[in-house]
Amino acid sequence: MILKRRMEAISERKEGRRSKAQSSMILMVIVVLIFMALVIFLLSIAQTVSSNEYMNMYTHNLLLSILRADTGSNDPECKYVSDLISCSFFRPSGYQCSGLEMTCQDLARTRIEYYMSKYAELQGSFNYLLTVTPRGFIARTGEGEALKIEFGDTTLKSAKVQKWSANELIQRVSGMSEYYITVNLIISVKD
Amino acid sequence: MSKRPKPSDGRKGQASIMEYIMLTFFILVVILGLLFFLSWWQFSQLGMEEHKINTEKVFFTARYVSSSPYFVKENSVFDDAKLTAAMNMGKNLCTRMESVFGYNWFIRIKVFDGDVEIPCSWSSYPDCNSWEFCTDTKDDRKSTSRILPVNIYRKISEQNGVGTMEVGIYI
Repeated sequence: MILKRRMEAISERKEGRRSKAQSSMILMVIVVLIFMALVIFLLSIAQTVSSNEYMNMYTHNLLLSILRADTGSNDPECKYVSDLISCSFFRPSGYQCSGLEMTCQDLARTRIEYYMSKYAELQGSFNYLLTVTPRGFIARTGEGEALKIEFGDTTLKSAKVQKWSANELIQRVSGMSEYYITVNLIISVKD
Repeated sequence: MSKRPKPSDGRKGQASIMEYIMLTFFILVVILGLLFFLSWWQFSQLGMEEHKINTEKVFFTARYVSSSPYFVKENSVFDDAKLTAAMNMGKNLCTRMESVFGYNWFIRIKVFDGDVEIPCSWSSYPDCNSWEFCTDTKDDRKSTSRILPVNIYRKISEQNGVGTMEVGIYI
């Protein structure tokens, strides 16, 4: 009986020491994991701030440069790329720019693709999506659907990649009324 | 009557001491690792801080040049005649702009017209498509720069061209 109690006491002490050692090891592993997480976190935030500022500035400048670019046409509906986009939106029936055998939308697409490819040669390839939507009014197609014009990769909007975007407004005066359309550019770096 | 200690009691005591020594050693290794990491982090932060200051200087120069009436017709639309006049000032421009941009800055502006790059001067204008300010001719000089899309208004043809502006700092 006494021996049994002694044996039980010894095994309890052993269990106690084992569990103390185990809990110390677990504590050490937790400390090492926290330490590694801290290192990874600090390293990851170090570079992202300035690259985001640059990419936002780049995207905004890219959109402005393309919208202000001359198309070579003297037709007031087609002088700048912004005019082509406005014409594509407000004259969806296919207005043809004088002197050029292309509709506003086709010419806008050609010009935008050309400039995007030129910039991609310099900065590396990127995907882009340029969308045109009405601001403050509703525009519908002949089928009754909301009118929206898109140039570029239409899957980019829902793609789960890092993206940068910029917006600009284009004004159009028709009679006594002013209309605004929003041009939104989204870009992402190609893998 | 006192009990005599058994040999196994001594071994158990040694094992217990070893346990604590290992634990202490492990804690010391973790603390030393943390100290080394924090010291390395401090040094690398100095380098990052310098890089951040240079990058901010580049962004400031880009924003100022894009809106300065000495160079542009309107915000981010450069005037090719103004650029050519500024380029002909040569090093005088760098000296005059030191009070605004400081030292060791440079700018390169190019038009996308599909032609060979032709630097602008009074003799080549308007049949030219690139401008450089305060660049160093030494190829091996280190610099940090950013390229941004811009427009360049061609005064003679009265058209807006598309191009790039590279703004940088020599380090």
